[in-house]
Amino acid sequence: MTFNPTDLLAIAPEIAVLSLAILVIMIEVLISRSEEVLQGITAIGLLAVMAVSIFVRSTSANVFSGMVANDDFTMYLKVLLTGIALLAILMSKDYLKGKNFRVGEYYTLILLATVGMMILASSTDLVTMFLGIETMSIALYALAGFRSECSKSNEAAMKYFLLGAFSTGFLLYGIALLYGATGGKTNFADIGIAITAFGGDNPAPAYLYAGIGLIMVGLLFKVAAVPFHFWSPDVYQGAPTPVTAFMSAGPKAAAIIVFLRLFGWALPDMSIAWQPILGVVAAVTMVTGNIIALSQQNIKRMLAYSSISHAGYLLLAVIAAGTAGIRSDAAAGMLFYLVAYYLMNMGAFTVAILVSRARLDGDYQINNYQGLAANHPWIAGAMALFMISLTGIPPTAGFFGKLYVFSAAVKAGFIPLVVIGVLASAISAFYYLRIVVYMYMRPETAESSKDLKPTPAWKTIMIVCSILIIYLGVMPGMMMKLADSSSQKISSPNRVVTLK
Amino acid sequence: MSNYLYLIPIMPFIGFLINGIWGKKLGEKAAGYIASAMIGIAFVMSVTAFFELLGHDPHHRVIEKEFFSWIAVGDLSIPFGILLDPLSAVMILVVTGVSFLIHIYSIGYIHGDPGATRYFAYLNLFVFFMLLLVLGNSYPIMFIGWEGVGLCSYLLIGFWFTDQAKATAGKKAFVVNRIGDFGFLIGMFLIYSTFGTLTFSGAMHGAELFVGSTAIIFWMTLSMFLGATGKSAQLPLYVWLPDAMAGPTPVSALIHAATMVTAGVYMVARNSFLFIMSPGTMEIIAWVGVLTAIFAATIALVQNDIKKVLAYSTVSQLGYMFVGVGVGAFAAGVSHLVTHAFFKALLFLGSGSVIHAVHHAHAHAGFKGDPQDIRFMGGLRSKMPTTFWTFFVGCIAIAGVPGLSGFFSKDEIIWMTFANGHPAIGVIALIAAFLTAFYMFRLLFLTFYGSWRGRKDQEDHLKDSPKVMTLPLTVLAVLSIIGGWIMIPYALGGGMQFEHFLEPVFEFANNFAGEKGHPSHMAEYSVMAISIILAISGILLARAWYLKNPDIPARLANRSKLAHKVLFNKYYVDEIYNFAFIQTFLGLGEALWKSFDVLIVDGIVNGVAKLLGWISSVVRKIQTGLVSNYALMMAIGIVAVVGYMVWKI
Amino acid sequence: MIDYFPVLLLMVIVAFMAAALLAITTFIGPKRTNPDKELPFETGNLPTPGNARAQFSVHYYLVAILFVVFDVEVAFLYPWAVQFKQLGLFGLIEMLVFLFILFIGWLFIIRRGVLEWK
Repeated sequence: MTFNPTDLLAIAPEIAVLSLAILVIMIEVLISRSEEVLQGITAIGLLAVMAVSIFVRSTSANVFSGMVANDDFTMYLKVLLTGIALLAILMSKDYLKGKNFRVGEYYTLILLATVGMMILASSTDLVTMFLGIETMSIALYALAGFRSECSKSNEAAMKYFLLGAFSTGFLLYGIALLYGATGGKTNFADIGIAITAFGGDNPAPAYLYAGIGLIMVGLLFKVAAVPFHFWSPDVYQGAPTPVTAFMSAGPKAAAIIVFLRLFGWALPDMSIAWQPILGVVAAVTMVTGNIIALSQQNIKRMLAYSSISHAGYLLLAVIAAGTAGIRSDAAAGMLFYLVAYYLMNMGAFTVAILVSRARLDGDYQINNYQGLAANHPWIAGAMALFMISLTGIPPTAGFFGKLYVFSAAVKAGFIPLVVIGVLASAISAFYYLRIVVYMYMRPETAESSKDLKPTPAWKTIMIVCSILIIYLGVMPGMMMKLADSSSQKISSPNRVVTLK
Repeated sequence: MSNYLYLIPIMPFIGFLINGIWGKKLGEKAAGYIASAMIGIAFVMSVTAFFELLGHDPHHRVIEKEFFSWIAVGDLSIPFGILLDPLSAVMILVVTGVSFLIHIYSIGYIHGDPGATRYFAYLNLFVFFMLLLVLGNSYPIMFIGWEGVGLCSYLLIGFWFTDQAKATAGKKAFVVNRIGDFGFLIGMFLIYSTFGTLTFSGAMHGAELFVGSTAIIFWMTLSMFLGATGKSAQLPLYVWLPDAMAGPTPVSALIHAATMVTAGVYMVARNSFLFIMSPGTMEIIAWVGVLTAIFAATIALVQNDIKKVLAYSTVSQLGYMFVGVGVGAFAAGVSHLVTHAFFKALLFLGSGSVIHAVHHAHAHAGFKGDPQDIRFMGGLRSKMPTTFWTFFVGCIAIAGVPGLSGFFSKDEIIWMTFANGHPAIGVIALIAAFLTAFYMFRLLFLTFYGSWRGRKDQEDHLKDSPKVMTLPLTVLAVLSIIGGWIMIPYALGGGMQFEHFLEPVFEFANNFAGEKGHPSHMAEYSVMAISIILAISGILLARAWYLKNPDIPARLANRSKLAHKVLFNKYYVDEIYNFAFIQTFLGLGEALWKSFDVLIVDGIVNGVAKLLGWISSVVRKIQTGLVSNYALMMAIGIVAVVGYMVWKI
Repeated sequence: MIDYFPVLLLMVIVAFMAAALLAITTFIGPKRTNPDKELPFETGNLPTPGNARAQFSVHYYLVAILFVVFDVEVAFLYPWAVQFKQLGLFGLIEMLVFLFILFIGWLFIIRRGVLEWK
């Protein structure tokens, strides 16, 4: 293993975010504790990181001996993840005001989680994957408990940490078993090659299957799939809302992408074993997530369950990726879906913050949305758009996201799963559109007629998300082309391996 | 220019955004100027594009630009592209040109209305969709434009939505058009399933190679024609157009006379390559067209509302266009579309000017009467000279007086019916031409000649409309006169430049139909002579009845009470529809609602909702809040997953 | 699988030994009890009176954790120092980056006043 200095270019975005994190925390402790300064630096820094990500894409193959990917697909993911962090920071701007938070630490933690997410999304090796997951998770544990004065927040952090540690153990165990079964391989491509050697007289050992199962469990925990989702509603509810928005979009995206890479690019030959069980998990996730969301009265919990069900839809793409010839379609569909999901989810959480702030007790009850359209037609309109997009009704981005993911699954032959997915999204219409009904068809109450006072930062998020959702819903072609062409070329670094 | 073609529809869209978002702040005046300026820019660009197209060799006058891939799912790939060929070039010129004039006119007309900025925003949006409709290079884009103009038409008919009747008229237009759109959609699906593509060029290519039963083509074209009957107000779906006159008059001029309603004709012309393959559909189109023409003309004979007369006249003239495309004379149909856009816009704007003046006169005199009833007008010639002269030009143009645009285009259609072997249709079309001349001059005489039949105090307040309104009238009048000079037939020594310009578009259809042979010029002269005689006699009859002996019509109406009543009540079509469809459906609906819906559908829907709610409340309880329980659940999950994986070997 | 048989054998023997020793002492050891002997054993002192859940200051844990962090740093430095020549300039830079990040952490702790005992 030799080190090539140009490899550093491939991880320049990660290095840049990390440096930014250090810079922000240093500025806070040494120079200035002004919110504006810290936020400005973080936001501008993240924009610069986006530019860097685009600039260094595909500079070289086989970076760090194939431990991280450096292709266009990864570039899009890095830009997406940076975008999620950027919106989360923009969303936090006025949320943190008046709360006795240490802003610098907050931003630093978000940036550190972003580093982890970026490593995770670009990893093509079990070691980098684990490194990414842990970097991301530890920052997230701290973020979940950031409202230290609030017992719910502490509870969230504790639960998240305990269960997260629990699942990490299984993940590591799975990695160890896979390492052993493939004769000491950790690279995805190497694992794929090693697995082809099994069969016939040389059957795969039982602990290979067990290892795959355990890794699957570890990743399913991160994407919050049923029955490994229990942490997510409690954590989402307890965490500060911008963090919830961040958590529901970023880590989920990063984890599902590495899921796709590992199972679609390293383990497709084992798909007979993992596709059925993942199919069951996906079906249960879609159905359960949506059904439980029906009876939620708190919008943060409702969105938490909704994000569980979206993880189910995304799992369809992972499953489809196991079928030969479909994996780049599945990857393209997933990329589109992630972008759409990020926009509508961030938008919905922004409105949730706005509405809850106007309440005296600052709670997140769905009742607060009664008659919102009368006083705030624009905000209600934006929320209605986000809800419609989450349901997956055209002409919104959510519709095409679902369409692309489902059509990849149909191509791979998982028609019953797609039928379940469509039925599940029909169920989801009940609770998403309930918000719309509340906003437009219920009389306003004294509480709901209060001025929401959206600040410029929140307005920007809502406008940007709305415009992009409509843009992607009316003209998905351009984005789809990008997703398609980049996923055709997902690199699977090939090391020259000599099989024993 | 060809690289910037997309800017043509974008301009009005920008106008829509500006007026839609900041309209209230900008105020009425600025909104009107911005809206007009945007259309003006689009018009200038259209002219540029037109000349660029002219620069090409006649057989390569097609500019097709695909800007981006719009939808791509599996094998279905729809690019977002623009197609500029002679047909769409003519259409964008007419659309932007006429709309520009109407926008300017609107500045004066809508002045003082509290919803003026909204009005201009809608008007801009309409032009955007209309341009999309005619410029799109595929069926889906055309369909978006098609739906979009329908939406704008609905919004503008019900512009004064506080008036219940007007809101209802808007709704009626919407519902009737939906029936037609359904046909369009089915046609589109059939095209996709037959040719596997949705672009015009792809479908044309498919049609060239098509072998097999033409039955599918018949159904395809027939469903599309159903769409056209809805949008272009043909039998039996014409009923919405007369009611649509509830909207502001410039809207009637733009949407319900000059542009939107001709979309059906455009669609048939655009798909000439498909329609020509199905003689059955062509026959149906020609007959529907001519029957609509005469049917609407008879109703127009006795209407007293100035806009209603023009509305039925529009329905009738649209019928002519369908006769043209139905007998295979696509170029003639489009010619009439163009000239009709000029003189019908002129007539509507003229009527708007009259209504405007009468309305103000009524208002000054504190009189609450219908400002559109021609029985209480008269003698406006001297009060409103410009309006009168331009209206007069419009009347002689539509009546088919030789030398004006209407003569050349209408005559070409009538002549083509004979030349292509449909004499029966030709004869009916000739009779309708006679009726047209009659009812238009009846309108002219009752409105502008004689003496004022209202109160004296109103008469003193009558005055011609402001410059901003009369200027567009003048321009349109000039166009109504000279617009036909590029369509003069060979028989009269003309060059038919317009038809030649359009020829490449219909090349496939013309080749498919084959050479019809050249009937002698003599035959053409005789048809022309008959039509001129009929037009003149129609005018003279109207003069005799309404100017010289005004009591004749009343006596006549008295003598044949039944016929008059039937005509006056528009053949009771609305009532028949109401009885046959609306009441029946309402009754059926109620019966179904009581039995089927309440018991079964509601039962199932509510049951499902309840069941889901119950399951939800039960399943929710798994979420106990205790970490140890969560860990237990996870452990069970892990055992299940790993157990399955290992057992599976 | 057969390779692991000795391991299994070892495990069985160990388990047997443990169980056997416990059993033997239980059965043959003399039993003389008194109340003092029944008390919980706490490093030679008497048991804490009252509520056993006495609260410690959170600083106690923070300091302990920070001690561990910086202690491990030294543990990393040792093997690096042993291999210093082979790792060369690259190794030096790597270690400087590592130390720099730790230094930032230390700076942060100091400025936050974590180590000040209140």
